[in-house]
Amino acid sequence: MHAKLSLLDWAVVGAYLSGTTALGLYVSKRVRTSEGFFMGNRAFGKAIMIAQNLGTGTHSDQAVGVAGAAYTSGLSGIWYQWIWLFTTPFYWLLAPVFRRLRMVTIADFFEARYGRAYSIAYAIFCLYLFALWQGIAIKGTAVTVSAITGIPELLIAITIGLTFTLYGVMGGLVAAAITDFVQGFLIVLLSFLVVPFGVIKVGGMSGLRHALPDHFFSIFSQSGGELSPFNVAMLVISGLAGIVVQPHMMAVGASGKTEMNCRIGWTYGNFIKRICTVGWTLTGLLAAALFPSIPFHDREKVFGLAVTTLLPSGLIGLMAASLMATVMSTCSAFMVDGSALFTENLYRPMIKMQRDDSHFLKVARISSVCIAVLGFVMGLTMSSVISATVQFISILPFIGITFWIGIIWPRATRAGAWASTIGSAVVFYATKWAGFSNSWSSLCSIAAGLILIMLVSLLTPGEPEDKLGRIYRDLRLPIDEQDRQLLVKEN
Amino acid sequence: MERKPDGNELLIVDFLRLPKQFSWRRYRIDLEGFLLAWIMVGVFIGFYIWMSTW
Repeated sequence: MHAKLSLLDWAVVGAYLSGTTALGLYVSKRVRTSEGFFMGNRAFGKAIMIAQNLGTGTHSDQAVGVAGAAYTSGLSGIWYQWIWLFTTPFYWLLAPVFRRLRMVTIADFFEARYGRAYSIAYAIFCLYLFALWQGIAIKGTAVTVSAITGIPELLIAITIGLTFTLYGVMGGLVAAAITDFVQGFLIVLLSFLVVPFGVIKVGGMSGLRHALPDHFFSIFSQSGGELSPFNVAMLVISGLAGIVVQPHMMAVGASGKTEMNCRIGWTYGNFIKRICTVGWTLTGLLAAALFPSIPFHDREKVFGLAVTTLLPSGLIGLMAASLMATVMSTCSAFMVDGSALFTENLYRPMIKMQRDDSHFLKVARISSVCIAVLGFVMGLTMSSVISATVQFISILPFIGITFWIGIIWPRATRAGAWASTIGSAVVFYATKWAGFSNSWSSLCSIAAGLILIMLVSLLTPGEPEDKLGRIYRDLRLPIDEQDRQLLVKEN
Repeated sequence: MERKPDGNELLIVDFLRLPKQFSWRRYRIDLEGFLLAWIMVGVFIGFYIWMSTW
């Protein structure tokens, strides 16, 4: 199904890669401190915050997955991603919580709230997650772009890896977020590029309707079960429990210049992603009408097939560039956020002596490269992309419970946090082993986590008043401009 | 010292105190944005239902 790339296609891909790198390197001049590297000096406007949230949270494998689901089950395939539609309004409430914590990483919060051991365990776990996620993103995109263009997977993976590492290492979050602004447009373009060509070929929307059976346009899946109200509710609850401890959330949620920028960026960046999902679904429906004989196990190839069959010369190169944009925007952010975890939560406490900020900036840059290399190696050696994805979704809510309760309930203690995390993980895997569905396992593990943190916290001594007092005082005080500048200097 | 409510208080941080101290004025920014976001969700669902009638 490879398309032969024309000179114009190659020119588009070349322009995208060199332009993104040049832009990233140009803005890297603004980064002179570790705070600037990790948090972009907390100075991003609304547009950059929206683009950062869209870019970091969107990967090409999501587009490929939704198009494949729509190809087999019709319009209801949209719910593979739109399940997160119901969590999106909560981002409006969460963004100021992250910003007011005045911290660089989520591990900083865990250290202040539950002590260093919990924070270090979280930081190590998240470094593994970042490498894993980068591996998934690089692998998924390399497979798709290779299928479309015929370029070897390894060459695509190396090109992607070198590009985002170069500008990310130099410019940190500033370069990642500003290149996201350009890459955000490409992500939207990717989502809808095939649609007009497909609609024309199928004979308009009425032609699409006639070409497909009625059940392709039903609101919920005909196969049933997957999207019952209980399953949706559990996905939303475990999604909300888990999202607060996704380690990049401090940067994407709290690096705006004002609280409002953070709220708008997190909420509406994700709403734009929901709009993109409509494009992925339409691509799947059009593919179902135009290429009806693809077997079920090959359904994730329909996105690539639609691209190679429907797009004219020049636009295939643009699509390849857009697919690469999704992975570079994600991986550059993960790389920077991972280096923040290593530098701030593992390296800084480990070396006891005082060093100036330029030393930590150097450590941040070196650790960025190490995390990118680790992700790259994981991507190339990963046997199953899907099983790796499932692992992290099921693990994060166990830690998320302690974050939520740590914010809401001052009486929660470090012993309670450990008991909750370990207990909910044990319950989750025990119930899975006993044959429970994912939703019932999630319900049991979240309930166990909540009960354990409350029970054990009430039975153990409370956390020191002065530490708690500072966290809760910060949470009740919005950051004004003077505070923001002070924070940038202090960190 | 208690600050005068100016709409900037956070529903999540004050979750356990809400039964006692909830007021629209105190949580205005949280509530307005949260409601608007749910309206957006409604618009998305409406659009989806409209797509199913094509």
